[in-house]
Amino acid sequence: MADLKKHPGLFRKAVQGTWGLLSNGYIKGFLPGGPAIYEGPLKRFCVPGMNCYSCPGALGACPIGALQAALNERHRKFPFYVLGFLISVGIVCGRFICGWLCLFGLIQELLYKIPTPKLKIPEKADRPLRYLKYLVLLVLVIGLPLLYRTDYGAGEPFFCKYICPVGTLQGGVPLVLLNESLRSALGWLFRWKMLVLVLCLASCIFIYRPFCKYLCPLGAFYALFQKISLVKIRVNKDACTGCGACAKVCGMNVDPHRIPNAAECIRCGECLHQCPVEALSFEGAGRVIKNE
Amino acid sequence: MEKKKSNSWLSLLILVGAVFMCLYGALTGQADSVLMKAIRICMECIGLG
Amino acid sequence: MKKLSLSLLLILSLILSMAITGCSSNGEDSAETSAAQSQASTEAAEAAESSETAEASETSQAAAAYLGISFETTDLDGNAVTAEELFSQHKLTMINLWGTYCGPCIGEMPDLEILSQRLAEKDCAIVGVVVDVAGLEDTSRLETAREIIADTGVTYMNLFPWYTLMEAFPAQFIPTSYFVNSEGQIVGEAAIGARGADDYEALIDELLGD
Repeated sequence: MADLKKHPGLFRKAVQGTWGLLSNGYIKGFLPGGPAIYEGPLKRFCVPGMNCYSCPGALGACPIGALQAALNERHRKFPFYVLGFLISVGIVCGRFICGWLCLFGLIQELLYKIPTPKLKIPEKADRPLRYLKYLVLLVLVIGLPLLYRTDYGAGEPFFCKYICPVGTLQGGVPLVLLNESLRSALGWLFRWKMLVLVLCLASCIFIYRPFCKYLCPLGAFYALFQKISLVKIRVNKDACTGCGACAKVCGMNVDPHRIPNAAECIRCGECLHQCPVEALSFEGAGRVIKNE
Repeated sequence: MEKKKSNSWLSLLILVGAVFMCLYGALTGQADSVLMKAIRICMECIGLG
Repeated sequence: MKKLSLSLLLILSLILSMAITGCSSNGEDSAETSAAQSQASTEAAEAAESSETAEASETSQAAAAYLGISFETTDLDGNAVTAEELFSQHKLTMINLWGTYCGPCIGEMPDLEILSQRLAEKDCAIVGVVVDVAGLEDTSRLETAREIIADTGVTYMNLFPWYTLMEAFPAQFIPTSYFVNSEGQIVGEAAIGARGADDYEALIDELLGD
């Protein structure tokens, strides 16, 4: 069946899947007639990847959701707790979270496995579009929640409310399916978010991880730490032959042997496996962690 | 090699700072705030509206 | 091959243990959280209760007939409120659960004030419950709640979310409104999500008609 040497990416899928199940392991939320969501103390902790706290199974809080919630309060407070958590994770491993501990990342990858012809976005469009997620972070996650208030002093979590397909998929859809009482509340906002979700999921079939590339504010945040994280990718310049096998296999269009800790690298480790001379490795504070 | 070491020290420093920031936030009730919003969920905030 | 089956086994056991712990810890832990929050509030209530024991013995005979929902809490000024007192005064009481962090909850409050004036003519009332202000000691959030109430022009009573109240009116999503008759029984379905005064009034009229 599955041979780890032939399918080295299987271990990563197993980690992604396990973490996805663990962090959304509140089975009662999925049982009809039970509580709609988990209400216990674990939800004071943020998970490191994108994972809406409204998922019936969610045991933790989404860091991007928590960040907006802290910023859009009537009386603004500096978000020490959430920001401290995000920086800690970022400085330890940067976008490694994206590649290994984000359920929505896994979902996108699984959708991409559907056998269809794949779209190659021309570099002229791809490069500038990658900056869109920083705009999403600055405006929809930070700026507007921080600055906008209604006449009655209420703020809004703009990204969560109007865009986030992760929340719609993990939270909105299952909640609406499992809880009849919520359906009367649905209006134009839900319809809009369903449209965003469908477009996102459809694009995932033809493009590898388009949300991660172009929209994810969490990926954008972690990307800021890529070059200075404690765990990162190292190229053994002496061993590297410049064959370009790593760049060919990279789904994020990174060229690892030229720019090993690019902002776009989700540290999935595919390039490590593909390198014929094992020139690429994960290293932690100077010491090699994983090599092949 | 030395440059790498000094980079690691900076990253460690940032980590320590961030951990303290996180703990400070938790001690001033921000973690409870996260919990509250995650168990009494604002409908429209998650797009159910 | 061995490594793969071993990791799969590990994964399965982790999932199982998490699911089991996840399943059992909901009610008890959220109870702990709210209990811890209302601890100080209960102590304040006990002080208020001791002065009411004389009245209590008289009303306990009448209270034996009350079979509806029971809870204890105070309004935002610290005045004790009991379920029976509250519900028996009106044909229908609408319990509206809201939070200071909830935009749509705040957005519908001006409408709820209008509604409360219309309802007064029908011998009905609205009562608000601020779900994220534990009690009088939660000064900063209480201040925020008072500001919101002032800004939205709300004049109807608002209550603290003490444990027994939240047990009777669970709100995993806000705003949620429950409708309670004069016997203290929940009638109709809870209205989840913000809506306008007309929508609520239509719901209430339907319930009154039964």
